[in-house]
Amino acid sequence: MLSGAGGLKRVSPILFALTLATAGWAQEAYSHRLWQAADGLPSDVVQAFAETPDHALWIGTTDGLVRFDGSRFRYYQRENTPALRADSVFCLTVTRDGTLWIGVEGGGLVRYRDGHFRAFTALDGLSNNVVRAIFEDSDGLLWLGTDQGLFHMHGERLVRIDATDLIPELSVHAITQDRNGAIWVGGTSLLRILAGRAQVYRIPLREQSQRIKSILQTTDGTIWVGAVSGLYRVAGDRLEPVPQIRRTVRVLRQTQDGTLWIGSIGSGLYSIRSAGEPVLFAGGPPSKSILNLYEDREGNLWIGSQIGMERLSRSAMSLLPLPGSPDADFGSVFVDRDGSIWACSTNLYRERDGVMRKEVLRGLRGVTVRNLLRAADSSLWVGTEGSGLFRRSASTIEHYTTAQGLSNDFIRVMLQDRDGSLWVGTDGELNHIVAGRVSIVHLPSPVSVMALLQDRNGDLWVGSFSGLFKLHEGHWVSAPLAAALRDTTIWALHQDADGTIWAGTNRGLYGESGNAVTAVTTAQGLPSHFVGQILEDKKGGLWINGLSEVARFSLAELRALAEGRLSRISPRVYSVSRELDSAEIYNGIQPSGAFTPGGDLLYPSNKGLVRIQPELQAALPAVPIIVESITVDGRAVPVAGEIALGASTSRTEITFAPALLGPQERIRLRYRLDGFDSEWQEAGSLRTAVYTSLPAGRYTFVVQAFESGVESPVAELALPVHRLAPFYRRPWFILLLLVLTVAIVMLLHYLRLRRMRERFAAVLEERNRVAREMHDTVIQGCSTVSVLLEASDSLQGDQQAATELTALARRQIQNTVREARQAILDLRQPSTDEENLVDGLRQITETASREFAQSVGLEITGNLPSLSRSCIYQLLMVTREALHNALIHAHARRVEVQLKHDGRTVTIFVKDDGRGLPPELASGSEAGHFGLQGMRERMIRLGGSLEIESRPSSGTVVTVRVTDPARKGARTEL
Amino acid sequence: MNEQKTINVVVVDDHPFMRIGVSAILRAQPDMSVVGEAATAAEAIAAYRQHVPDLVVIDLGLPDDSGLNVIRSVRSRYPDARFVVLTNSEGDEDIHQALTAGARGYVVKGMAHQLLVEAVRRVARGERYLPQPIAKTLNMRDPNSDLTAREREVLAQVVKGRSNKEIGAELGITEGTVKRHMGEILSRLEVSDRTQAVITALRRGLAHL
Repeated sequence: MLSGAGGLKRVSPILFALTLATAGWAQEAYSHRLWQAADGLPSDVVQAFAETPDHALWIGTTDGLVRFDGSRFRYYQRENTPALRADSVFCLTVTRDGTLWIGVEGGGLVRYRDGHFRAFTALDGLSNNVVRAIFEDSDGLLWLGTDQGLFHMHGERLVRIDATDLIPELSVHAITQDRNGAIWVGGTSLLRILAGRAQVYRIPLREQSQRIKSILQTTDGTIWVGAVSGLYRVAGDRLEPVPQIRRTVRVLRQTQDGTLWIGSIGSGLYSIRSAGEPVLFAGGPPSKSILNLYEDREGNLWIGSQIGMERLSRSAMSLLPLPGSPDADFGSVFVDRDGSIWACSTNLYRERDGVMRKEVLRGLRGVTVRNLLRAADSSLWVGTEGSGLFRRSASTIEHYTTAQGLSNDFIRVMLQDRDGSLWVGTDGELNHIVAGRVSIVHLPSPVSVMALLQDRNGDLWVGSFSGLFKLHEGHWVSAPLAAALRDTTIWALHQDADGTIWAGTNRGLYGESGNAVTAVTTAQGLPSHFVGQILEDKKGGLWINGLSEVARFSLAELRALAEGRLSRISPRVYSVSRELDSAEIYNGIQPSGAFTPGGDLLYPSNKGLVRIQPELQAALPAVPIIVESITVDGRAVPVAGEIALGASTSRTEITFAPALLGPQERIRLRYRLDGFDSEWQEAGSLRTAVYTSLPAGRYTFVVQAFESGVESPVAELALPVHRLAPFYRRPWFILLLLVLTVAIVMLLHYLRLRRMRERFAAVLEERNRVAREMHDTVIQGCSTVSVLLEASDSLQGDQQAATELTALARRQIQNTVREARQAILDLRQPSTDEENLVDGLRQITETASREFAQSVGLEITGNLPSLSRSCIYQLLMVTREALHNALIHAHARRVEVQLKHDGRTVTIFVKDDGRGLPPELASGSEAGHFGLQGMRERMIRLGGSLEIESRPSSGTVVTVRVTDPARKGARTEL
Repeated sequence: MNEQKTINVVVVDDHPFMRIGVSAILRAQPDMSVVGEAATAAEAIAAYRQHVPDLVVIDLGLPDDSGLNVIRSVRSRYPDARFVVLTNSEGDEDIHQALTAGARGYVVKGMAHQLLVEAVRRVARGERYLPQPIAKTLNMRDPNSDLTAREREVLAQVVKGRSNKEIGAELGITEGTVKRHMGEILSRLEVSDRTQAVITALRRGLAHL
């Protein structure tokens, strides 16, 4: 969008007016960064820039396209991007829909949209494949300029519009649109196209220099035209040359501050501010051939040249180089009463016109100046390295050395007392010069003096290489701060507006206020433990410098810290070393830092004077944090939504960066994996978080960006991370386990219930059996006896009949007792409690043959019948009764039990070859033989039958038969 | 002695001595005559057909079938047939069922013989006779405890120790239906579980072993 001259539309007149007010910037208000092939660019020749909405800067080089996100390059070349038929990217444009258009020298037009490249060639109507200019006009129409022909993009096709009656044929190098909507096309001619008709401008021809390279309308309405022959202004219907620029003007760009930048081939970069004269810009890249210029959304100016690309970023920090003092080993800075800036290093320098120039003080040639002091009487005191001390007044020079009584000729610090005398700290001891007379003031211990301060009470504080001392009315006195800083090197001393005495040491900043000492160390927010100089601004700020950075503390915060209301302070930190070419600030020779009358700060460094202009510290633009890559076990995974980690993941790397094209040194990043990390992790320069052994669960990866000196984060990124549990920890598995557990419990419960039910059934059956036995024996017997006795009673007249009935009752009682005993015996015999008829029969026969010492045969034919327990019980009872009868009464040689089952009828035969039953027993009519009676009754109850076939001397066969025992049994028992 | 018509009685009991005792008691009465005896249900029906007595003294627990069925069966052909139940069971349900089946007298074995004689005599006259304890038991019967035939069948199976599933299979109904019947049975018998249901059923004569 900003590519091409379209950027002018964004510049408002108000901005232009504002920039007029600050037009006094020195060029040093920029920090510079140069990238070349050695720094990762595919080529030194950088021809085009464009910015896509994803905060990426696209760079066109002669060896391919590069995507830059502020910290990393990604390359698109023929090898990895087939749509790029040639590597020389000449122009780039991002249209309003976010699409990147790439003009390739010899490769036609390439479109990059949604991660895909698409080439447009002759097949798409593009008859020339050297694309020099791409421009989207205010109607969204895409204009394309080639070495032969001007094209419109209609849909996916390119249509040539020149070489007609209305528009002459031309070779195009530049396209732009003015505020009236007219399209300006420059190349082999200059056209102004409005409503499809071209107006041709005459170019004042010099030989072979008619080609137009660039066109721009600035916010003041002027149309500027850069040609091979130089820079022109459109005036009416002709071009008016700008005489200062006679070289080829390849690119014209106006930045938001209103400056018009002119990139030339052969004489470098010019700028024109507030309609003034073109000025050669000294801070540009070290190339005379500027190929392109681009101001990104953050306000950084990108300069493409023949020897790489340079980024100019407005910065509060800048360097004033000290020519001829490369890497000096000391330095001090002195701002004179008239505001002139002096720097003492290998040479003495004085600032003129924004540049530090060597200065030799009259009469002091060959002397290495360490520091300067302007006395109240306007004389200049000059401390030297090994040459003692000079006092220069308008007419005289006084020289003080060890010969005059100085303790040492190496001067470190000078302080003028309120009474006009001078205190001089040297590499050995303190001196006092009163009215030209030198005296040595012996410190409690003889060491180098590093810093001097006279407080408001007039007491002198002496910071030394080894401790702090306080001189009160000529006597060394104790002080809490001195006690706290015993044996500590004191680099700087300062009394602030509140009266607090501050000492800068190599282990932090210490303050004494009302006999209380406050320590400010890195634990309280000091950027480093070394404090080299303490300066106070007029806005309540204390400036403290270390070796590589300068930090501004708020005095209010320091006071709050001293009073315990605050545990940590947040200074604004200026990273001098990082932003200024690894500059290192010098300390040890005072003054090692000073304010200019304008409020700028100056510090001596090995690269020259470091200048900090606090008011230039621009607010950071919105800086989104972007996840650049996620690597899981060495495999890149797409950066989208949630990071899902498999159960087997062992190592996860998340690389993130601020989407900041400008210097990233101002940004401090910290990250934390919420739910895992308990503390924030400072990202440092790596900007990669690595996690191993992450337990399963849900986390949020949070990255916060801080601008130095700002307490709250300026940007935050939150990325959900979900590490899957191993299958045995996942919900579905746990659920499955739960379901299984419940199922098992239910199964166990069910089994238990069934067992209980079975036991219940067994108990019930047993109970019923006992009840039946009771009923069949005791109750039946007793009630019979009762009836017999009642009958006997009723026959009072018939004594004989009554006696018979009584006898019957007696027999019945005997029988009942016998039956009850048998029933109990049966209950006690577990062998009868068989569920299986065959097993039961086997047991009965075996037991009987053992008890009676006579073999009993058992023969089974047919399948095993399925019978109820009670049926089996009854059958076994009957069979045993019959078997016992045979064994006891029959005197048999052979006894045999046969079981037959034909599917419906179960028949049991008990056969013997004994003497047979008496006939009256066999017939069953004899009531006396109750064993048989009971057997028969049992069988009738079962729905079966019992037959006795007995012949004297040929044995007995008892046949027990049950048909459909299950059904019948069921019915009869109802 | 009374010159009334002799009451012809058939005695049905599976126990021989019981028959002897009962017969002796009845024969001792001048107005009664034991014309036949039977030991099983089948014999009882046959004996009734053969003798068509004025009255039958019958035990309910017969080896081949229930005495109740004998009563029903006989009364279906001989509506005037009169029965006095003489049994060991004192459960209200047995009494109720016996009376419902058509018995007019109910005497428990072991009661004084005069009660049996009185029962035979009164029932023979066409009256109803229940000795005091029997009448009392019957009066205490909760009319709401009537079980349907199906519930009775289910209860009989429960008494045998069968599970709901087995009962369902036995009676050709679903397990759910059995459960519903069980719920109804438990509530009608005013008991809380199967064991109590079995005990109550046996005590009251709702089911027999």
